[in-house]
Amino acid sequence: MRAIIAGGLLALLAILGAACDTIPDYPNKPLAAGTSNPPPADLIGADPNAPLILIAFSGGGSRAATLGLGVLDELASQSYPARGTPVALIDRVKVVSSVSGGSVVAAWFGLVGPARLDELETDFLERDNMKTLEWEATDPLTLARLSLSSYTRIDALRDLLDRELFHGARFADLRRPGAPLLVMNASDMESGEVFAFTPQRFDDLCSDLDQLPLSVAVAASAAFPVALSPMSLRNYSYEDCKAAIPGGGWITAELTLPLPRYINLEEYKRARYANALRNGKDAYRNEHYLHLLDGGLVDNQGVQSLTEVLVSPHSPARILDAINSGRVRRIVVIAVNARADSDNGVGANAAVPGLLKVVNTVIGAPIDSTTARSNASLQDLVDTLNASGTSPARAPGKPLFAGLRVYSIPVDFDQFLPEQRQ
Amino acid sequence: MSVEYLLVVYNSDRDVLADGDRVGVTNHTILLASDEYIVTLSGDGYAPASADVVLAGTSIMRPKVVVFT
Repeated sequence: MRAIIAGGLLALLAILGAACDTIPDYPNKPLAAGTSNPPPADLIGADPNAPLILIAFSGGGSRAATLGLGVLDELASQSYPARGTPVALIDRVKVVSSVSGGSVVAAWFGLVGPARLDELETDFLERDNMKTLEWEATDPLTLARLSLSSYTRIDALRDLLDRELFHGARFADLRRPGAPLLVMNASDMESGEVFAFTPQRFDDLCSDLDQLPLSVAVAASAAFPVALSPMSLRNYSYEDCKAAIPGGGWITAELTLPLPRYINLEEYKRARYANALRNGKDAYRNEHYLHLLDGGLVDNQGVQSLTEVLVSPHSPARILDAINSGRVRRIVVIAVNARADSDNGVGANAAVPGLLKVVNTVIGAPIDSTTARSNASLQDLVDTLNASGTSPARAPGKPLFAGLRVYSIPVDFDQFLPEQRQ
Repeated sequence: MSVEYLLVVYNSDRDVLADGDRVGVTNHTILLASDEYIVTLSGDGYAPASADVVLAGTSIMRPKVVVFT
């Protein structure tokens, strides 16, 4: 009986603690003096007709991870002939953008590549890890840590991911031959912007991405509001940063030239955000700390980061330059959407929906509508690039992007029949 | 995001830089997002030193043309 009472008191303390502010142990480290984050490896091969595959894995919990794994398995089983030698399509996956549950499979693929892909299924997906998390949450020791220390609910998810799947792996471990550029996305609570775990973004924070555990980024990307606490990072650009941060010319141009905000508002806002993170001149807000929630709140499909990598002139991936120089002529964009248009039972019930169902709708409905808009804008971009690629022979300036073909492949959970969803 | 077309003319092959980042080569039409850019070339010995280029309302048949000498 005494144990039950003690457990109840600890649970109460944990609940009270969840409503309070906590100073966390920040998982990110500063860049050393005179250094910066290494840019991604060259993604463009020697053959301009080899397909360059970009994938966006949406959020959607373990369903998203499972669907993403299925897509990668299929790409591993298909090949194309390259000068008489078959090349597996999965070896041409060069960019993976991901959100929430999709970040589990994205990070795993980035870490181990095609050879050990299926270990994700046996080591993580087949086990009921959410049940483990729930069980741990009721463990008196966990409850005590949650209530009496800086340990938070997102730390519990981070530790679970690290213990069961990533085993201490850090971003530096992603640097293997042929590895894709991995872009895991979270949402910045202060600005409402997409926060991507990329070398470029960590340069903005004067922070060393290589040292960051993968589990931190996956947990931040999946920090579903209310159920989980935000993942917090420290912005060392607001401290005594002695790193040699590269670039920044585009930020200055966007913020000082007279017209960008009228011609390309989105790019202007991205520059304004980067300038604020860098503690730059006339920063429009101060972000000494970043508090990150599930990437699905801003872009559940990961399309914004994918689009930036594909066509931003300032992306270190340099794909736009390769298109304009005729070094890439075949691009495949695969958008894997695991959000399902499920029956939540509200319409069949005469009673006014309770608070939990309302909260679920308040969070879920905007995510779904944003995903639809993101996918539509991606398709517009693909159509525009294809139209450019079929430019007439008499076009001035002999475009080297003539012949560019971009293939858009949407994979949506709602395309599956009910019996296929099991 | 809308896509625009830029043709940078120069008497030899040079890299074209938009706000300091390489985006293509001279004398071949380039795809770029609509925006305002500071366009320069790799190397030196060209004039003007940079061009303030507003990219909007172009088409593949009528790209924005910028000439360096």
